[in-house]
Amino acid sequence: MTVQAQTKRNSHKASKKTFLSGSGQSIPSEQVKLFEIAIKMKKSGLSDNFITNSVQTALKFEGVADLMNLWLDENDKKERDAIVADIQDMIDACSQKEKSEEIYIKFNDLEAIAKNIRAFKDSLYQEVMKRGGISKLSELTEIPQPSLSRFFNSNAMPRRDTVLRIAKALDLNELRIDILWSK
Amino acid sequence: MEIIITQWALDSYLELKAGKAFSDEEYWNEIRPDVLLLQKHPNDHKFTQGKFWSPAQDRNHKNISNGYKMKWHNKGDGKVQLRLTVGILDETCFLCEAYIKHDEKEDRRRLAKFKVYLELIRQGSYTVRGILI
Repeated sequence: MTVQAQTKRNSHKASKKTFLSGSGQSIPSEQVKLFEIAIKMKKSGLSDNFITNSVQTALKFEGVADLMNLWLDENDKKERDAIVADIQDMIDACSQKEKSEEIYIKFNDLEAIAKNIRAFKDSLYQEVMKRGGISKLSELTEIPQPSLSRFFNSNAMPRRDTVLRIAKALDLNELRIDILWSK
Repeated sequence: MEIIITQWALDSYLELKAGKAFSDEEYWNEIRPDVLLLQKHPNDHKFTQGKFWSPAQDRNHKNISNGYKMKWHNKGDGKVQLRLTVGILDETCFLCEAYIKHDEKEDRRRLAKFKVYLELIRQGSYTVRGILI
């Protein structure tokens, strides 16, 4: 790799600017507001684990702070649930600490992969329903219900971490997951 | 300019495809060629058309650093408004997330997520699923 290429690759990191240093508003007041939102989240019945992770992530990522503020401003339950699922998605995304290159997928294989993902999620959903449903699973995994609903309804690749948490919670000993269509 | 397909972009493609947000014909004849224009960004007249390309803004109408939106109108049987968030950092293009803009609320949520994606890209904490060529 040339010196020029090395500089280019590292320059993504050089512009690192976080919510803590990049907000146009007063930092302490923004932070205090997150804690105020956390208290309201607690009153709404969200789990301590989710709320703690939300605040910790929001202190580092302005976009998550934005989502928490959107949650506060929202009255519609369906929309609030969507925001909770978004926040959980971002908590999961922010747990990645380095660049990763997964197997590149050929465009022509996407249709088959989509079918495999759907079949996997449908099959796992059947197991969940046999063992008390989404509500019970949410209690066991501490993953918010809206996130679990999105997990099963969406056609996105399943996160291996999430699948493992579900498998442990349900005491499932054997789950076949393909590295090609998981993340 | 290299166009990187992130995991987020691939997931959103799978979601839209399953939901029949666009037809195969629209994908091959319009959407994909438009996205490939990013290879020569900003040197195509479409990048001057606000209905097709604009800086992304957050809930406070502040421009999101390095963030842009590509837009398509009335696609698929549902005649939906499609959006693709794109990060341009150091002459590299990152496809982040495609979605149907159902309403302004949906847009604000997606753009909040987009801010996070861009920060993760800056930190080098993201997953590559391919290069669009």
